[in-house]
Amino acid sequence: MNPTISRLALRGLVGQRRGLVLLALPLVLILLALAVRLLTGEPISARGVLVEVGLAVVVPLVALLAANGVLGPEIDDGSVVYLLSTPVSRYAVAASKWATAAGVSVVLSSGGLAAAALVGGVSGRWVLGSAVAGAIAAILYTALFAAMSSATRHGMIAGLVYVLLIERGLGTLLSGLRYLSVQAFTQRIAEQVADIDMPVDMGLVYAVVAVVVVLVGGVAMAGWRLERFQLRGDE
Amino acid sequence: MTQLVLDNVSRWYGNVVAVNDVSMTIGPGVTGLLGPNGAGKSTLIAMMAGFLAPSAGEVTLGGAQVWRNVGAYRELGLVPEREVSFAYLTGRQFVQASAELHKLGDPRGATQHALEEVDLVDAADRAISTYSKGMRQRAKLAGALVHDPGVLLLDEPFNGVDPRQRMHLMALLTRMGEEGRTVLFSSHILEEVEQIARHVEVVVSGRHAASGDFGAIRRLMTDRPTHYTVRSSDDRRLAAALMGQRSVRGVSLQSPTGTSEVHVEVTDMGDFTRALPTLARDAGITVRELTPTDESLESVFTYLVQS
Repeated sequence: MNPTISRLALRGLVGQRRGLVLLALPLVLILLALAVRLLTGEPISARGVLVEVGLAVVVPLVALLAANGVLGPEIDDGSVVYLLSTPVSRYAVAASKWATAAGVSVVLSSGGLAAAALVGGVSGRWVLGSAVAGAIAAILYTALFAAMSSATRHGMIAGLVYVLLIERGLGTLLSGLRYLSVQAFTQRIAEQVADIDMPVDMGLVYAVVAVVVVLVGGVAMAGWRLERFQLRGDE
Repeated sequence: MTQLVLDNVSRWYGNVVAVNDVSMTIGPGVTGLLGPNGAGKSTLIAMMAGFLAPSAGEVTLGGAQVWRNVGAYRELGLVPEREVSFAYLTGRQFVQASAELHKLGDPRGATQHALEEVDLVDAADRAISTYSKGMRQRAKLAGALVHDPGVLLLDEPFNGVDPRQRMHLMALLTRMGEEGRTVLFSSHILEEVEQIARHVEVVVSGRHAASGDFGAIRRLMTDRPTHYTVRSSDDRRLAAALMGQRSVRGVSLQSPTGTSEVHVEVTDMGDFTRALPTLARDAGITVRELTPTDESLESVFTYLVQS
């Protein structure tokens, strides 16, 4: 890890307009929970708001914006050479950038979900559980999206395709795709850790292995790509 | 001594050959990499800087391959053409980040020193986004030399820089070269290269067209048949007088647009341009217009490749 890279990445994330969008996403979730609570006068449905909207939409979008934000634009316009023309290992560059994206995402996802759970009036176990799930998902999604952003210029689109098409769209039709779903891994583990009810039909061992693979594989892939970063001339 | 060696280096993208079998050795002092736009200069610099894998051949710095060797950046500083996307940082923050990434013992001190080197101390605490093009170049240069590298590579450093700043930047590069660093910069403008480079490498269409000290290259470029169009008060008499010149190989009278003009083919540009005014004055002829018809750099380069 390299603190300078992380610091620069953080400035690039929160100092820019992307930072406002990042902040807006969990705020929308909290407002949604508040609105549902006020309109119905009852506690919100934890499954409906926290899982189906929070964990399924808000958390991956936050992670996508953060992970793509620390890597995508710099690779795209080539200015990443200013970081790469130094003796810092490219894997350290990737890991440091991912750590920043993951940190920002964990704070926003975990905080957003827990706050939504609080204002939604659900049980304390759900407040804790959704915070845990938000943190796990944020860490995994950012690793996955960091790999995508380093592998293709269209990392943003690749990430959206993954979330919307594979996890949401096809995932509801072909239940077997849960074995490729970060959300499913997250739910399986969060259920175990925080003792809340968000069942997924998946072995715990598989979920744990998948988490490690996504995490290590994603960050390593980003480093591997950075190690082979090629500067395209304008000519 | 820090030498950058290109050994039979080629680079192609699919069917397009960007750099074709180039071998050169870049040593201490200022070297100009000269060539028209699209000649492959940026591709060459990218390979020298370890940001592009040669398709064939290899690029080494002090004997070690540059591609996929981050250790090479201890000895190498790169000033890319690309602008800094961290323009919200101040010049000092940018340079200091570079110093930290190089894990220097005293990043603050090194930053201050680099800023002094490029004469950017006064503006160092302003955001880079407020800088002029020349100041941005100097900020990039400070970032590239903060770790005191033996080799500096600069891609089109004078592009878009105003004349006063250009002089400043040129003086800087000259000093870096005199300090014993290996400084290589690319340019498509002959005059830029002429002013500061001792040694010149010319690339045209991806091929290494010429190499040598500037005088030799300049002679190669100027001692070639050149064509001029002259309009004067008495074209026929001027044509006759011109034919008497040793530097003139052929003269023809033409009137493409109704007005007549003299087309002159010249073997020695320098001689001809010195002789013409005297000759015209002695003959009592007023020269109204003198236009080189193939003075574009491209035609100079084309000539070099052919020879």
